[in-house]
Amino acid sequence: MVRVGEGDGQVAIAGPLERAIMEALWDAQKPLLIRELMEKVNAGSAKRSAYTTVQTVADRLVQKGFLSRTADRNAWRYAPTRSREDHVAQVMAEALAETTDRGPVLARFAETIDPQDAHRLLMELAQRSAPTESRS
Amino acid sequence: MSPLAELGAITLALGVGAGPLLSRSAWCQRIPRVAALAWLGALAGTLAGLVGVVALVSTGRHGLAHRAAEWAANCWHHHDGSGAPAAYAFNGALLLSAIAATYVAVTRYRRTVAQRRRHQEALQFVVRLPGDIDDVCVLDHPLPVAYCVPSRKRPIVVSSGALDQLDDVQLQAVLAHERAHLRYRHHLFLTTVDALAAALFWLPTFREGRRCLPILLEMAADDVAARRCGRGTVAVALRKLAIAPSPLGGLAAHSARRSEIDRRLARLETPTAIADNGRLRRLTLVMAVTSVALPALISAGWLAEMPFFC
Repeated sequence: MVRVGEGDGQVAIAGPLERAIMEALWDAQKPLLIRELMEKVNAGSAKRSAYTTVQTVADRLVQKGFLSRTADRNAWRYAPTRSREDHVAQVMAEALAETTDRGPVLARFAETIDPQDAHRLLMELAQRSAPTESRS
Repeated sequence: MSPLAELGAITLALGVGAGPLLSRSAWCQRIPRVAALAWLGALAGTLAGLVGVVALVSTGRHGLAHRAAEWAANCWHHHDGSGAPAAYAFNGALLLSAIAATYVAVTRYRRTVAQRRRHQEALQFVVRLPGDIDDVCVLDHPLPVAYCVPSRKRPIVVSSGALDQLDDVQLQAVLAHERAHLRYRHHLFLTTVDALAAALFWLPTFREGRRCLPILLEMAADDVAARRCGRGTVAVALRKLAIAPSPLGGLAAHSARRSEIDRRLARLETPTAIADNGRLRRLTLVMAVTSVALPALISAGWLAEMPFFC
């Protein structure tokens, strides 16, 4: 397990490396082997991470459900379970899920977006509500 | 009156009477900080009373703990004390329900904490860390949102949509609001009350506490922000976004008669709606301390007097 000291006594567990791995895989657009992943992660950082370290952290991300891995001959290929955009949308949905007053946020949002985006949003919402209606 | 009857009366008064009384009191919204203290007293006092009742019944003349001690003392002589099957059965049921309630509360608490941790993990992959404010991270999303996730290095999350809409002073007001939540450990209070309310749902004080406390603590944080940045600024900032306490705080969504944001805005925009009253504050403090101390002292007095071998 990689532990990174954080100055004020708190210890963040492998935060930076986890993040680097997620970003590398989101940028890659295709599943990567650990070797390829390690090259990408190390290219963007001053500190080199060892093969086994990257593998350990990637496997933990699989356990947590953020990555999935598929067998490719003798090795595993890793890919994010959700796109970056879906991931952000999910985080925002969680943040709003417990807010009792979602109305004002959404209303404020609706006021600020430009007409073209509003049209696109309406189309998305229409598409989204169509299947649920047919199911019920 | 026997200690058990006294304790039962106090627990009943706090657990059934205090909550509904507080939830109907108009002064609560004027001085939410003091109201939160009153709630804390009522809730902690009820809990202390319940624990005391279970302890007293178990160690009483017909209690299981007493019975066990009796067995241990008498087993050499191969005879046991006077039996009272109904009392023992009652005591057993009481202990079982205490264990069940503890299990429900602990499970609920752990679930909330696990959800919160998962949210933090998901968050850390996608936030930007601004260099100039060291307790804030920025989530790139057009929805104007600000909230705090406790126990992180950067506990306050502000969306880029919120940053676009707030000017500097308004952002300071929002940050002051979130920092007040963090400094006064509002999340800890709410998570605990939520867990206990899940276990003690049959007590009106816990039900009402879970319903009323979230908005009271929001108002308390609004007041802190208003003292720093002015009420008008807080009100404008509130209009621009939803300031959520902390996601996954385990707070059950409830339908307020009037929108919560509207209630908060109304008190920020009416000069008489916020008042501090030193006498009320001291009275509440005394009441809160008494509510907890009384059941604790009665139970302690009983246990101290109890002979170990009778």
